[in-house]
Amino acid sequence: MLDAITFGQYVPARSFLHGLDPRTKVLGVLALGGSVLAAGSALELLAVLAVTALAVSASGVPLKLYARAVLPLKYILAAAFVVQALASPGGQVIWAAGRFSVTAGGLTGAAFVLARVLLLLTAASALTFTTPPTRVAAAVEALLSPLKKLGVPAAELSLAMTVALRFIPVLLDEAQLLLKAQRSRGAGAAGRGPVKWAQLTVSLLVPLIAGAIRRAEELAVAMESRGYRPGAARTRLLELKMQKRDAAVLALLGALFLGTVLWGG
Amino acid sequence: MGGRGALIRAEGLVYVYGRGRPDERRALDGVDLEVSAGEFLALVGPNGSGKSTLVRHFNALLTPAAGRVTVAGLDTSCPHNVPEIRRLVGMVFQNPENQIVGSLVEEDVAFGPENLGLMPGEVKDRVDRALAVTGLSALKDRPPHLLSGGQKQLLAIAGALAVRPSVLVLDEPLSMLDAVKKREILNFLRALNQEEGVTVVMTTHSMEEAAAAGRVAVMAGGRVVLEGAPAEVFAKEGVLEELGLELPAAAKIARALSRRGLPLSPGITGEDDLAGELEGLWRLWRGAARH
Amino acid sequence: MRRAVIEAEDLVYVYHPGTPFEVRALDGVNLRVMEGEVLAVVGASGSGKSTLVQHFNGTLLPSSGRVRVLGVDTRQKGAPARLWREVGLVFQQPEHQLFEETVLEDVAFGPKNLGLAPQKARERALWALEAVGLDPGEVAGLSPYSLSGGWRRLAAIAGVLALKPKVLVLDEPAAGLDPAGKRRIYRLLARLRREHGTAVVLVTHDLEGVLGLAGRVAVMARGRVTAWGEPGEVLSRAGELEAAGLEVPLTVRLLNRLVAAGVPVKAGALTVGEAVRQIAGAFGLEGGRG
Repeated sequence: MLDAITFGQYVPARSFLHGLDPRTKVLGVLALGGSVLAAGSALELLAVLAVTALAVSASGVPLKLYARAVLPLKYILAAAFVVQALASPGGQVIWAAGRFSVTAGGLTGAAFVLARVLLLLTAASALTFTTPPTRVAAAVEALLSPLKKLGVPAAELSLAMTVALRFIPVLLDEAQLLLKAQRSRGAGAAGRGPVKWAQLTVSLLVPLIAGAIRRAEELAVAMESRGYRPGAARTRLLELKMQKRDAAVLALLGALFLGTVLWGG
Repeated sequence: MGGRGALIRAEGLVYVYGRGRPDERRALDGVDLEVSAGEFLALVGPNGSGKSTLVRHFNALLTPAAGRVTVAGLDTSCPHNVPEIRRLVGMVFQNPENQIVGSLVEEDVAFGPENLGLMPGEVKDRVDRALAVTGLSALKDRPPHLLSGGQKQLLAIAGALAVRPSVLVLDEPLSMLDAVKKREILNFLRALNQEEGVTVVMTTHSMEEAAAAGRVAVMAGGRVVLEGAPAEVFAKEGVLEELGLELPAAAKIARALSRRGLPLSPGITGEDDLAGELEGLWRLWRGAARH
Repeated sequence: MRRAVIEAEDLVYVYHPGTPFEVRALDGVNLRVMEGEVLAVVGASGSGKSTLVQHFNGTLLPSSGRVRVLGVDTRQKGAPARLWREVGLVFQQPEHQLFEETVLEDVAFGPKNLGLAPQKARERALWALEAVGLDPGEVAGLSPYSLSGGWRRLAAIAGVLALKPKVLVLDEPAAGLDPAGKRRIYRLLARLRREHGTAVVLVTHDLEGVLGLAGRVAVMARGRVTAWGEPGEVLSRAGELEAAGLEVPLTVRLLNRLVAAGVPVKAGALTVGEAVRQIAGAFGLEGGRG
């Protein structure tokens, strides 16, 4: 039952961030992300770090949960750090073994990469922890709607996103059940050769995909029965309203983004 | 044959699956059926009898290959009638999970009213009312995957009720639930029908569930073969047995005792009827034995 | 003297321990499954019955307490890797697990994993298809997705039966089927016990279906076994069943009412046939039990 523990899951609470319009938060994450990538010097990254720390403290979500969001990726991050340290030369050599050498420059570069990834993940988490998925979808739809004139199906994309998010826990449960069932017939048991592993994968993927298609068909019928017509005008239960605090946050993040883009090289 | 207050009417309805393909089959072979306003109708039949196919014509998910289906006088094969028909007829399906769209209970119930383009204030009212009627108000901020099977089915019902339909059609709504949940939801549907005046049409393969309805129509081979009040239909045990439909335990016991000579009324449908008659007979027996 | 093929001792299982989502699904279960018997584990949803039976083939290992299968503790190193051969577990809605191109190949999946040569595996699959009542000539070459619901479920059960396990465990095998489908499943289980001596553990909330099939019943509620014994005895305790969230079988309710009205019938969970005989006997009718 992976039910409650889902990646990036919403944590109900009252906080400054919880009270912001979801569009502010989506744009905010984009601005923060942009700043992270545009920051060229340690000073700039520190500024971004300060703003991110502010966001975390304003989110009402304990640091422990942010750490949990990052933890699953620890191996990938460690690997990236090592690769970066070995790959970018520059400055004095700190350690060498045969062909491989780690330089001060390499270490700094690796530290930068790690910092960037962690800041991006934290910013994204601040969004998903404080915003229920449908509000994120509503924000995306609202932000994309000016593009409707160019043929972008904003409302349909938003609905597709909501439905996908809603079914993630369902599919995860089903995958887990499938794994147990196929293992109970001995899948992946006899030896761990690549052939057996491939067999286990097929025995999981085929039913999962078939099941997902079946669900989609049934859901489409249910949606039609409730009056859904793609392209027709729909209203929303939750209206999005910007307030002064939203303007303030956008101004701050906008300034940060511009600052990192324009400062130095 | 036309009746006042016939909300849904099927005349000579024929439906064919897989037209032109080798697996082509006639799912509905000339069905004539009326659903009167305010009634509770159960459509019973084994798998393959056509009951699911039939009810999908009631909200224009399917349209007839031959014959006609009208809802409040609107012909279902006319595409521009469809939005109004789907507002009049709400539908709930067998699998609770695959009907839920929103990631929070409240948001899912809002889906129907949102599709109608109602103002947010009105949408909220409809949602609150539907949640109150189904007893789910306390769960409105919960993600649907944390609900039990019975709660999910009630959520699907709330979502259908939020558009204020005149008819609620449910296709095998109870088959994936356990016995206690089945009974609760069946009682809920009866109350909805009797107190709120919502017309209810329910398909099932359980004669026990059908006993809760005011009228029963039995289907087999794409046709309606038997129709009437539950007691009338239950009395035709021969036909039902031939169709592979299982009488509820009380009816089976009544029938076996009648065969052994006990003077029970024909068409006993449930425990209360049976127990009552047996208790009555026992008092008579004891009374007679004393003289 | 029959021996126990599965034993659970003070079995406790906790989902997500140490997190805010911690759930104590099993709270000290003691149970034995005897060789060749049909044991029905009944309970409302959430009672822990699915969690319990997943310990029987090592899919789940106890948080505390012990589970022994054919004498072997499931926590022993390498045990789960062998247990699936002895205890065949059919999960809920098994028809959704079919994946091979043909029914025959899917049913042969288990035997192949047992190490049988391809030809032998296919023979075993054909045997299993017949054993569940499907006609191999008709279905063997079809895609699993082209079978109807009830038949797909039988094919999935055949897939586990093909392992020829000593114990067959089925989680809600008749759920969602129409009356004819339900009858087919229950008749199959009765046949398996009679003809092959396979012990069968059946998880269900359908008490009426269990009467006449199960040799013993264990009632579960809130992670514990609250009653365990013969169906006639256990299922007639109406108060306990209701407390466990189960619906009391009609025969029990009816006979209890008649007893209260002074009719000389023996109250107890009985099949329809037995109830009829009791009542007929009380009224002095033909075919009654005096």
